[in-house]
Amino acid sequence: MRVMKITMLLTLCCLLNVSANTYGQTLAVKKSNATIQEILEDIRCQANVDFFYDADLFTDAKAISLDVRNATINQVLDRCFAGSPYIYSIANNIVTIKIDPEKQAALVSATATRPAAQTAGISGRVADENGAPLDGATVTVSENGRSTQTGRNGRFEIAVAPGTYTIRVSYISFETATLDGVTVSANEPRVLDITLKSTTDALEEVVVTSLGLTSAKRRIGTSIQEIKGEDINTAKSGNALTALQGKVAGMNMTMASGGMASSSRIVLRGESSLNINKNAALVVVDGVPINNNNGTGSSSDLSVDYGSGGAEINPDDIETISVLKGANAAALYGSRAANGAIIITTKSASKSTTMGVSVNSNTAFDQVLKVPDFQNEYGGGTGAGLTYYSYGDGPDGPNTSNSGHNWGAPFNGQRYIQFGSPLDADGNRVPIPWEAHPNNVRDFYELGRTLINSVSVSKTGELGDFRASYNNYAQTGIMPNTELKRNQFNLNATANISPKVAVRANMNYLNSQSDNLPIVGYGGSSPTYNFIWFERNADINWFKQYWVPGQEQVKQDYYFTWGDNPYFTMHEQLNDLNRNRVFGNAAVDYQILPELKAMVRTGIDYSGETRSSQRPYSSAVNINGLYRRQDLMYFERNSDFLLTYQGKETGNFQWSANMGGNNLQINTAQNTVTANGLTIPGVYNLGNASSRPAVSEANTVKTVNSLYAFADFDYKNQLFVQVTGRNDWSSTLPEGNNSYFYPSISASAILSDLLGIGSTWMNFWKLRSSFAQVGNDTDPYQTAAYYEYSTLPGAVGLPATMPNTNLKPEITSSFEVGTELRLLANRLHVDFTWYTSQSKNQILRSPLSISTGYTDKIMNAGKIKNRGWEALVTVTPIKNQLTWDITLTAAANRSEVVELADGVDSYVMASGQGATVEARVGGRMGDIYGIGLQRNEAGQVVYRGGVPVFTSNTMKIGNYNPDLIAGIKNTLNYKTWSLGLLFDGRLGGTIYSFTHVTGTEAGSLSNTLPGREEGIIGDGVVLNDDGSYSPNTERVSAYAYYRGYYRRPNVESNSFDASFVKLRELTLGYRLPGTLIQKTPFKSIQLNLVGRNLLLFAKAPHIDPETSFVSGGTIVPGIENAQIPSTRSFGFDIKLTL
Amino acid sequence: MNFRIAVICGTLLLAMGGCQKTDNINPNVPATVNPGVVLPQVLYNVSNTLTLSAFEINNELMQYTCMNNTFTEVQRFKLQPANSNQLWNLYNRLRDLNDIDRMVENGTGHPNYRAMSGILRVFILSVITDAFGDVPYTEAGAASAGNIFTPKYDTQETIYAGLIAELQQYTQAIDVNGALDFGGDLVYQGDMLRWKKFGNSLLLRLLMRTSEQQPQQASALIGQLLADPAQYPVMESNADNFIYRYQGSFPDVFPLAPSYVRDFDFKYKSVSAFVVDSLTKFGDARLHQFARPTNASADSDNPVYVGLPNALPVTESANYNGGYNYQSYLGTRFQSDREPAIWMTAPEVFFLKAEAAIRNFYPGDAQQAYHDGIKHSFEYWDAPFSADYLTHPSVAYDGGLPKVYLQKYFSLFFTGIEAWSDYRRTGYPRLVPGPTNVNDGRIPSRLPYPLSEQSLNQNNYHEASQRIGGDDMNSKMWWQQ
Repeated sequence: MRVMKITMLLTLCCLLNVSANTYGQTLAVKKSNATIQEILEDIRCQANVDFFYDADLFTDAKAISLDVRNATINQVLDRCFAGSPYIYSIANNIVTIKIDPEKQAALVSATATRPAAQTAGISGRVADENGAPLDGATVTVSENGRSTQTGRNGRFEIAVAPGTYTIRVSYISFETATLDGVTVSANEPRVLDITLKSTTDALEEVVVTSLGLTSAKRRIGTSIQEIKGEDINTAKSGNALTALQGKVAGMNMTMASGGMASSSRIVLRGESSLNINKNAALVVVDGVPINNNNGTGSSSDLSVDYGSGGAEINPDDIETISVLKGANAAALYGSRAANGAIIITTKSASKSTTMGVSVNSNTAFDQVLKVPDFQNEYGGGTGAGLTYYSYGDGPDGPNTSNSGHNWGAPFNGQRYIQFGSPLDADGNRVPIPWEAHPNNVRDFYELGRTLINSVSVSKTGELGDFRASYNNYAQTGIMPNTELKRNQFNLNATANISPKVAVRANMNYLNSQSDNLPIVGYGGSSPTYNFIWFERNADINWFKQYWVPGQEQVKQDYYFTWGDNPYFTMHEQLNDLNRNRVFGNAAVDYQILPELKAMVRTGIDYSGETRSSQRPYSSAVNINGLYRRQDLMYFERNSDFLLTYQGKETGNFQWSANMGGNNLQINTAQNTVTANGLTIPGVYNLGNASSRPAVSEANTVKTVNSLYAFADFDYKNQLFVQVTGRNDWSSTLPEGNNSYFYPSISASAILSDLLGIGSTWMNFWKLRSSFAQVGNDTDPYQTAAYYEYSTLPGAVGLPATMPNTNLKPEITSSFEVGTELRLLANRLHVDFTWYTSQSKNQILRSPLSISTGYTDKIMNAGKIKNRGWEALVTVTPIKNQLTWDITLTAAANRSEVVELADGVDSYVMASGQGATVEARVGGRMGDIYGIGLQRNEAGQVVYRGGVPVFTSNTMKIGNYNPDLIAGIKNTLNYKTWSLGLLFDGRLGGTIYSFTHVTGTEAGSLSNTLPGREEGIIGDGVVLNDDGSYSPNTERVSAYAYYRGYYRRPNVESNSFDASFVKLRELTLGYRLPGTLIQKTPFKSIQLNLVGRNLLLFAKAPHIDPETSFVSGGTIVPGIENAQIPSTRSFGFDIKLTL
Repeated sequence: MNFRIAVICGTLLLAMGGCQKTDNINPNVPATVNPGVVLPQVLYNVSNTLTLSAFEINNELMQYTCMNNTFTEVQRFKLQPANSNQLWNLYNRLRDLNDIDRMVENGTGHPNYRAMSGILRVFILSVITDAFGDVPYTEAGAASAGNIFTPKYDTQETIYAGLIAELQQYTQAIDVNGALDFGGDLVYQGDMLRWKKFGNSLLLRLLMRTSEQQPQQASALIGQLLADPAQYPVMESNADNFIYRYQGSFPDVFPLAPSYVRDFDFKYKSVSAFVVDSLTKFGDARLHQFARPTNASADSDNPVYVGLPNALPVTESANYNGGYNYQSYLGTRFQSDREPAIWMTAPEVFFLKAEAAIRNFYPGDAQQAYHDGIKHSFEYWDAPFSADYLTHPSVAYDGGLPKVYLQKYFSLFFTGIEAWSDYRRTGYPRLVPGPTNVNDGRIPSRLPYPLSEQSLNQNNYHEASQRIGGDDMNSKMWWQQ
């Protein structure tokens, strides 16, 4: 609303401006060797008139010099257009300029009749691939060494004697063009039209920085990496952001699960906040932040991943993604960008004035990448020395079938009564062969299919440009009966409503819908859990009929007492999603003065979402059924303005200054109604609740107002300094502490130019450095005591967390230095950054001894240090018809917990399945603690009763952060073929595998085979009565040994090195040559075969170490919890341009 | 031109500043309430804890039940951190009780709320100290009012002295004619005389606990208490019981009902051979309430009850008597939504009286009290009582304490950890730990402090651990013999 007002005011200003009568005014124009546009601009400012002409009207105009004083506008224009074909007319303060054909004809004939020159000449125009002229390119005649530079509009002329020449055209950051056999005959000038190809990574590259601004990359004093849209939209992934894996130096991404709509956690430069949810990077689309919170549902047995907001951006709409790596780069986005920002710029219309249509179709098939390595030698049953199996009490003995364990009889070809036994004439089960079904788990998973089709149209016209796209996403998962559908519309438009005023808008509407998303993690309704507790003798086909006949909707047919039939889960325990989301922004740019520009913008991200979960009667954890319905609303609005003043160039010095402000409002609402127990089975409606449903409602509002300013200084286009300052006022902090200021300064120097050491082998050398601070607030309503509703209806109580009425903002300070080198004719490009950061005054829930009456209190405490480096190296070893580019990214980060709250030496950041992620003073962020094996002084494992003794206290097991993250991407291009190969991986880090804990306990995994028959004498010692130790000699059954050794919560023995390498992407592309498609309506046709996550090399057994634990909306790295397996996908992608 | 810039800048600034201020007041929840809405959740939460600690700790240590499956830790005396957390978390309720006190002091609510909160505080702290020994008491629950974040641990002797004094004070402070203006008494529905009886009965329990260490003081105070029923009324019938009656509608249901504990988790426990065999031998009808017939015999004409011996090796437990189908699970009433949670009942008071009379703390009729205890226990458990029972050789009153303690043990079924406390004080009933116990045949005397105390209240934790002779399960209670 407010922004609309601003817009209206601005518009009003424009109108006033235009109608001001300035006719009688006289002008003074002094310009030498200027373009006509420059002169017109000067006139426009002085006379307050607007000019109207075709964009390319002056393309061929020569530069002119002009020096007039006290002249009327007509006099100036007459002088200006003398000797050129242009005429003008003035009406209502608008000057219309066009070409007069008669005048043009006269000029041409004048040139034609000019006497011919004695020497011949070469003339022409040098342009880039888009046809934009290149001024200042060097044109050299190899034979005589004569050279010239292109002037305005890329034109050049060079005089030579008649003959045949080789012409070389070179220009910085473009590939040098060589034209052989240019024949020049006397009296006939040779005209050349030369197109230069930009080198892959142009020095003058412009990147998107904060607030939707762009800047020449050389000016930037911080680390920023840009990824082009085409690098992420070929080998597509369900989540546009996951396609960044391995391509961005220093990005550490953790996936919530291998399922669909998977949420991802993106951490840049390590974790700086003790609040594990606050370490993720901010996601910004077209200058405006959007919601990328995890859509992971909470509550133990309803753990479903509904996807994070960033996943819903159509990859085909993405032009570029700039990754601002740390607080330094993101100082201007304020609090939420303290951990860096991912800046997505969507596509707008290309320059083309004809309508452009592009169609993209992507088909991918998903397959399970890795299932646990199950044993196939022993079947169901529990206890040592079981010699038989029986489903129910039978002739072989009492029932042994309901434990889900695989400590039973070996598969020796015998026959037993089993769940899948057919019935004889009397209705009794008959024995069937006792044999393994090695693929019983793998066969459950289906071939997933993802179809992504998108079409876009774009056009640039007189008024402006637009691009509209539609995207359809349809996925079926590897788990039976799971799906995700998305329909998405995007419109990106600009209207130049006057030469001074442009209006831009980018809007997205999407609907995500699923009739069933899978349950993730360890719990009764999770098939991955049930497969750990799944008899190796069971045939998966036994379970496809999942109702007890005649008791449909009432009783599932399954015999394992604490879990559900996996098909029953997939077809009856449904989790439905329907989300409508609108996000986008509208902006007005107003060129108030030639040197002063204003922008106002407002952006929103709104989503309304309904989730429902249904559990039928006889579900293991909801025997009377359950129906839950959740309505969620998220609304975020960012309204901002920015004034930019471009200072006058004085000597070699140039500056600009900006001032802006932002108003952020976030509203959330969440209503959850849970019917625990259904009156009538199979009817999922809240009205069918068998008792009063549990209801909860939570609404929040948060506002942050900000003002900021920044200034850029530029010396000779070689030395750059930027200073920024921002002040935030957050509604979440108490009066007095709610205003906080934070500054940043960054500098970059182009040493190759400054020191004059640029050469053919040293093309470019830049040094950069920056220091920044970012302040951070907290969630709403932390500063006063409120009651909370008890689970008991009709009762309230104080929450267990003590509020803090005196909270202060958190402050993160960071410093970085970096350098960028381009060597060997740009064949080698190195970009290296070293950084350090420190965050203090963290707002955290500090745990208290419960004997205080509270479990924790909110306080400012803690100091976390991070330091590390990031490197990006690009090499082009081969560059001819075949080009081979190698891009290497690598990064390492180390964090240190310097201090915590007074008297607190450990802070539990997350916990799961007996392991805790704790920050301890002197330790690192991401340290995993848990119980382990007790050892004597000599380090030998202490045994008692044949199994190891566990420590009574927790100990450090490892750290989930990798020592090194790296990716290597190879791109080969040959004629119209291209091949891309991306490997990435992590070195170091620890993962605690709950699949290993329980799969070993159950005897289901292959690692439980050694010693099954003869028993095991554990390698260790026993404590003697006199306090000495002697070797353990007690032989125990494999059953007792493995269950004693790996029993929960032995975190130590179930934790593994999380290192892995993945073949992340493989693409083989073919662009149909022009000759083939000439006669078709297509401008280009590109075909790609694509594969993702094709190979995994990992040290950790049974699991993909890249997945993680999901707990109540938090993705916890380092703890694997029977996640849905990750997938490998392969398919093809077709891109058509009309 | 400058004017235009000024106008635009001014407009933008106004627009920024003119936005409505967002306050930081939570619209979802109240900031002020009355004692009548806080009290119910104290009663409810403590009831749940008492029931679950009976199910998971007390029943296993005291051999009411035995694990028939793999999770055999408690009956083998492998105590898990979670076992400690459950009871330690009762400290959370001090937050609510302090809040009620504050409200009454500020004029919201009848002073009876203050007395009730005082009695509840004593009850909660007595359960905590009986589980752990030395624990924070004088500085407990003082984070909000006293900014004490690392409360010191008091000796159990100090704690008991304090609890007894507090209990005397608050019980006497009850105004039996005063109405609870905001309701919230889900146990006695505002019947303040019954609160008074509960306070005095609890006092009797605590005094008896100290009777081994401070026999003279205990004797004197118990004598005084029981001599004057008009001044110090105690529980006289099951109507006086302090039990929490669940509404039976989720979430207000018994914590072992299927909404909370899955059927198969519930059935990991079979009733112990000690209970089944004893009650069978005595012809005690409470057996049919405590246990259910084996699955295999349930539908037959001759349902049988088979108890599981304590702490057998895992495989033997699972296969005992032919497997689960041939063992008795807990009675079906413990899976019902409306089974009440027991804090303290009249039968316990009768048995306390019997003990006091036998030990000459007061001139009462011990036999009468013993018989009343048994009869009221049968009544509470809906078991048909026959006078023959009192003449059974193993039951008939003989003037000694062992039979009183044994009958008290049966009556304390599912009464928090009271049976364990009684056992530690008296050594009765004579329980024999099973063959796989890992504590050299000693039944644990306490629970270890929660792991979190080691980091969150480090100094006080170490001081207390040292004082009690080490933070392990065998350090004795102060009141223990």
